[in-house]
Amino acid sequence: MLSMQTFYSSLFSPKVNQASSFRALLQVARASLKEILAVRSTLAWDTWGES
Amino acid sequence: MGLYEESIQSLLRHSTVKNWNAIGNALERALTRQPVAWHFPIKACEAVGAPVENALPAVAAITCAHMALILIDDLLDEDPRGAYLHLGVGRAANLALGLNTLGISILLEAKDCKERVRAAAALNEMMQRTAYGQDLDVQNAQTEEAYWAATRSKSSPYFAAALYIGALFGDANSDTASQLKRFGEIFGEIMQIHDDLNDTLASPANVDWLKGRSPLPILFAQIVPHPERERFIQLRTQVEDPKALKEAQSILVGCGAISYCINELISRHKQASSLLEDMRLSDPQPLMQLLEEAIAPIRHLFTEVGADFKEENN
Repeated sequence: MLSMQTFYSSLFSPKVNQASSFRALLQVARASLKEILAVRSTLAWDTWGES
Repeated sequence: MGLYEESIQSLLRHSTVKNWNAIGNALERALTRQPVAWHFPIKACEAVGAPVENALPAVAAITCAHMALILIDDLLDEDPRGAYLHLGVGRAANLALGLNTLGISILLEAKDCKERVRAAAALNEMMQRTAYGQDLDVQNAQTEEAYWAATRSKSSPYFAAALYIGALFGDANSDTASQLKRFGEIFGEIMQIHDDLNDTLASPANVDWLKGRSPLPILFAQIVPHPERERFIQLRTQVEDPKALKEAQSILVGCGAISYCINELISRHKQASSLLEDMRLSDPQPLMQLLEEAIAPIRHLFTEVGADFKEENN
């Protein structure tokens, strides 16, 4: 697993993200908040909540 | 009657519960509110080829443990939904103690399981590690190392114990049981990252924002030197204002904090999948299904933003 700093540098590095599968993650970073929130309900995993 | 209902009924018949209204009432409510991962001991039994009925004491014990952890978690978080509000702080803490020990008793009294003492020790260890992790958590990690130390203590042990104890009740050999425990630990981290994403993206601002906590996306935005870091830190004090919250959440997306969390999820999914491939299980499907459910939201997100899902992101 990458450190936060390493990930950040890699995500926005033109050299890295063109060559690697960071492209998908970069697309997430370029998405609007509205697009991210639209799928939020599917990320609703409250660790200590009831199922 | 399903296995979960059977496990609750077995608890309700326990001598401790018969004379203790508060614990009995809590268990009655649990009949309709299943705890997260209550079914993990069953999945472990299925995975090792054992009858699922073997898992009944493990399901009961994990349910008790979860109920105890929720009581304490709500106290620590000052959660407005917490049972301590109608029970009182002291009674809630005492009820947690009672549930914790009831879970251990259920395991020790399971005469059909030759590993019942080991199972009880595992449950005890889990509660101990989680208590430590909860204490780390309320100290509000401000570094990556501190964040992962808290997560691995407060979240992973529960899922690990649920699978491990289930494996013991399924007569799994020691190596397989340990591998299932490790699988559970990774799964616990996956769950915590999902939880952090959910809490961070909630609107209105949830308790993590309001109490200045640093779940993973917020920690990222505070640590890495992105152009809007100072603005983000400023907005953190204003998130009761919906506009400020929205701007802060937009910064989380744009600075890569959400992407980072997704990458961490994918990495752990890959790690758990690899571990699963190495295990000698009668039926790995139940655990494969757990992993698929964990990664499905990410596939959905990538589809929504027009990206290809590739598991080699690391």
